[in-house]
Amino acid sequence: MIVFCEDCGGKNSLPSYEIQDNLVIFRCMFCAYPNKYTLESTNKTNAAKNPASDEKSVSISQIISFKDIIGGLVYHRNKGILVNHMPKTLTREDLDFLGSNLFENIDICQKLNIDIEQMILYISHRHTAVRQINANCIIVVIAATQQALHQISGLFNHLVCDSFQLNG
Amino acid sequence: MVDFNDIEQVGQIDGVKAYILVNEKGKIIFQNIEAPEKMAHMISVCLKNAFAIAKNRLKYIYFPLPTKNDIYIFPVGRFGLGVVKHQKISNMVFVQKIIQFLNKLVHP
Repeated sequence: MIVFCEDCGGKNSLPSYEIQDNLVIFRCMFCAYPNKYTLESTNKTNAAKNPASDEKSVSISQIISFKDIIGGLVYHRNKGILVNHMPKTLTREDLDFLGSNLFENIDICQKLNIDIEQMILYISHRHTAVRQINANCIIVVIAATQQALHQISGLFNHLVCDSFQLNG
Repeated sequence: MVDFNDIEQVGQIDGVKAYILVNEKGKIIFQNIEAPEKMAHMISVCLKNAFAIAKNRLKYIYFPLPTKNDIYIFPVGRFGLGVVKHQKISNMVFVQKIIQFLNKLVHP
């Protein structure tokens, strides 16, 4: 299982047998930070079947499991791409470029109009939704239809990235 | 070459609450919008970044707002047309109307 360091955001791989009762304990292979946190439920199937469920927490993997969602990513202003569920044809450089441009866009727009929570770009029959999670992070979701984005838009408010720390 | 006066007719379209046209540097060509300088800056930055990603495949950028007076930005050549939607009209109908209007200007 891929888990992310709470301190540096580094991507670490843990065998699933080391995770018991959703408690993750590991030392980051990049910065040696001793991580200890609990994972939220990531039942993809339930969320996909019942998008209007009362689930309090949602992961990006649940969001991209919806029909007509093509991909998604989480971008951090300083750390770059934290989570990547985009099509494999896109390189790391492509994703960093995409993330930094979209981050600047939504950041400036929110500073100019505090009511703006989300930006949607319609490019070549693809709908790209960009939403700021906190001061440093955005989530980007690409959908084939506007209905698909509409379906998941309510879930953004419940988004918690269960395997890494978004704050800071 | 599209005449700016023709583009300003966007204000006659049902569902358009306010509008602004800016060039790529953020200079306002015409407007009837609240806080036009802020909006002009927003449009020029958004279009610059969106063009960097999408080139000429960008159709529009859209900002849903809690008031339902959603903001749209449409590229018009090297210009950006910002339009605020009236809350009573549906988004899909609104987008269709604006795109039809712009297509007619380019291909009369």
